[in-house]
Amino acid sequence: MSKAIEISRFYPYSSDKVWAALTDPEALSEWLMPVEDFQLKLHQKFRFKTKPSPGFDGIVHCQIIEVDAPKTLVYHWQGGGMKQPTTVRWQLKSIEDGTVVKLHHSGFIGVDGWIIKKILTFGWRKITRKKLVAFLAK
Amino acid sequence: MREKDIFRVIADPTRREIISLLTQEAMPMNAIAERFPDISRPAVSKHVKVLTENGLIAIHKDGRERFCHAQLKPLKEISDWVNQYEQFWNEKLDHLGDYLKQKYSKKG
Repeated sequence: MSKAIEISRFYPYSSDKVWAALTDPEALSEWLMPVEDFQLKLHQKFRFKTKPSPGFDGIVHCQIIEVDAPKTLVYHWQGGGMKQPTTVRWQLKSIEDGTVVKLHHSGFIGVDGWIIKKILTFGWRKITRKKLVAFLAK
Repeated sequence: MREKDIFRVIADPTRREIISLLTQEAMPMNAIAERFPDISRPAVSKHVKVLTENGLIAIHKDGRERFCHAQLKPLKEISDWVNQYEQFWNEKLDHLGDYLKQKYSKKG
């Protein structure tokens, strides 16, 4: 019943440079969000603070749970309203002329996974499924 | 018990099954309880109450029977959330590319 986001990007820079951008507080504040108390060590707690928006108080509570420089950085990510932390995993892979960055954000307790499962289990009426799909697509 | 968000409400598998049942057809309380022979009627009734209080079930009277209907609107919040984060990260990864380019662009 959870859904994950996975995005891969290529950047024409060495993994050390990309790693620095992911782990330097000033860099993070520049391209991601202003960050407080970030230190690259296991169990370190830190926060991203940004503008609040409806349903979001603008603060993301994080804690580092895995560091393997310059390849892997994993932290818990708990935004306003999330009862359970989600997990953000960064994986860097050096290739010939740059670095492939894989971002995996998982642990969203959501409706999509289990609805699909239940569709399979119960065999929903077409009308219901159509309604549901139309509803979720709104 | 009214929860602040929908996540805890649907963390319980029985509640998810109840909603799934009700998305197929509206059912009276008795009929729902019969579908869960391993769970006591008061326990099923309590789940229905929690789901109702959190807007996932609406109850309509039809003659003497009270029918429970699934309400999907609160669930949309969650699917939106994942979609929003997908967009968020795509934008931020663009920014990361811009940041790297600005910081390490070749001189001359």
